[in-house]
Amino acid sequence: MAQTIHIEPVTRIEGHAKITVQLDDAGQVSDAKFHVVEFRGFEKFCVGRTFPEMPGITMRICGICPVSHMLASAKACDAIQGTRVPVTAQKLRRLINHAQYTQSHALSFFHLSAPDLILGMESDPANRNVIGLILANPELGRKAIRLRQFGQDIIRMVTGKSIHPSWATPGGVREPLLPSQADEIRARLPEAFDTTEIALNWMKDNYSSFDREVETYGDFPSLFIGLVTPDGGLEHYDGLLRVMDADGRIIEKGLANDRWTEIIAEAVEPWSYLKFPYYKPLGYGNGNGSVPGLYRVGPIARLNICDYAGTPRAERELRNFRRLGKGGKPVTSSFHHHYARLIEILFSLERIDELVNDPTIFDTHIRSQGGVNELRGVGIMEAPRGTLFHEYHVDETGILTGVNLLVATGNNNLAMNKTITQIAKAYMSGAKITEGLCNRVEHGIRLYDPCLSCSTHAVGKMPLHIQVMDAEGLVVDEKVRS
Amino acid sequence: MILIIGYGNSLRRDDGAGLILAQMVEAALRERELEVERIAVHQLTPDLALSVATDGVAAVVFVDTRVAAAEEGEMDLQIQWLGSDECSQSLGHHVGPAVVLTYARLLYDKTPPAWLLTAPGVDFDHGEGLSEAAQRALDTLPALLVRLLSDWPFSVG
Repeated sequence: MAQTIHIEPVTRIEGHAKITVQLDDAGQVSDAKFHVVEFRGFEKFCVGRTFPEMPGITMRICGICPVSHMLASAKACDAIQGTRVPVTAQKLRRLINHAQYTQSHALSFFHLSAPDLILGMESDPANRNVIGLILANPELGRKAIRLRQFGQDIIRMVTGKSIHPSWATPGGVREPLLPSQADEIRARLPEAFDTTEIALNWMKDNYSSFDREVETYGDFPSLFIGLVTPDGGLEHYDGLLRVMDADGRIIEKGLANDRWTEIIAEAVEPWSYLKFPYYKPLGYGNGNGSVPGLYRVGPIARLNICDYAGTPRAERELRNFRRLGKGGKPVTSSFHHHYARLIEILFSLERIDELVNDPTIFDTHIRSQGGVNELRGVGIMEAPRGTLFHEYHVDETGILTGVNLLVATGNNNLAMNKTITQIAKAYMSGAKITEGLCNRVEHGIRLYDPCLSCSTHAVGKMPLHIQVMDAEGLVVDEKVRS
Repeated sequence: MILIIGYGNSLRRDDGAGLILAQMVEAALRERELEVERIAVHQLTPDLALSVATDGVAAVVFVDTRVAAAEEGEMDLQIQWLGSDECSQSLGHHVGPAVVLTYARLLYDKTPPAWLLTAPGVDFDHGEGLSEAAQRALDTLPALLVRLLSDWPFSVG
């Protein structure tokens, strides 16, 4: 008898979601679905506003990555104005973006994922949390807190606020960097590097104990999409869109940002509010579950598609990371997101170091002025969790007539569904829900570090509720974590 | 010094009530010549433990919105004492105030007394401004503070 298992909601991720696992008549897992049940209404909310308001509005979508939304929005507004952003303003935007990578990736690795990695996926959930991790290693806990705080403090220092920094504006930024601020950042960099190296060494030393997770946590061929510099380097703020296939062939070398809709289309499914984007030239398939145009964005995608990192320490780690690919092909297991995030923290710290030692960073020409010169503007960023698209349409007075936000979590939606299906097939036997299965499915989602609601903290606080239902809808097993 | 940490999303209607209420509490305490520092955040994160553990922090007041049911008579400001021995299973992007306190205790050996002050919320749709119900509740703050400050720093309810 076919059965459906519900896991609702998913803890330790943003927003409101549930997971269902479908069993076939033989009791084997046939499919798993990640449902997002919170409607995102931000696009409609923005229509009718003036475009210069957008960096300030969109950064209020998310409490974890407001900088990504602010900068993607500012870039879309730059395009509407048709102005050239002063070089120093571009450097300052990059500075706070690297600071955001530091704080966001630190939160993902140390606070969300490390309990599973260090304490064990099957360990008692009463202890398998960050408190348990702190008790096991308080000094690492303190270092993790300070690393995240370092990123937050740079954002606060430069923008005046740590959240909602209405500092990037169409044509540039509002405030310059002061030499005293650069001094403070420089002074704190050594500890940030040290903490990142500790985590990197721990990850590499313990990789052998995760062989099965590497094979079962989202290890499948897919496309990879992200930004690269014009000559193919690792890029987080600006650049060209590159697409790589599962064999490592580059099938889009460097597409201009305003052409993104030529390669990405968005499907919808009746069981989730989250969009299902796919690579348009390969299509969405015939609805039987296999999507030829499935792609991944985020840390492993960025490290796969780039030709080089461009900073010494990250370059060394990138070469090591590439050895995880099979037969010279791209790295395909989403489990490697953890390692990739740590490499990206290292990359961001090195870039921060470069920027605060660049004498031109203190220039005060940081904003260009302009009106409405284009009726369409596109801004694409690499947010910590993946590529983020903002596209705005305005009338000749600058009033927004259309807004489309394709967030990183949406870009990874198909991949997340495929990942939890693979995990359920590997670890589930029978219709009984075990703590270990719950942990692993959650970890599979958490690999993508999704922001689902990106909006309100008042949702998503309920305990984990899991149900096993048979074909008639009767509950045959149930588990609640309080 | 009293540390006030207000949190919420001001673009989700009543979810932003905690931010507004935190400003009101700050102003009211300053009027009484108390030393106050206020932090406004979209949501709580682990690094706030450092602010809680700062030398000189004598008490912490978290200010939030709670989901309220108007028909059940919950439309008032509520305050509750917070312990630092909770270990939430929902750790992550959503961190509760007790978890922040637990971080401060375990990592920095600091356990300032802490309270959670909540405003009722009924409308969490996209938009700015508060519902009438939430606004009415905020208007009762002066009376609440007079009662609470008579038993400094706050009554434990």
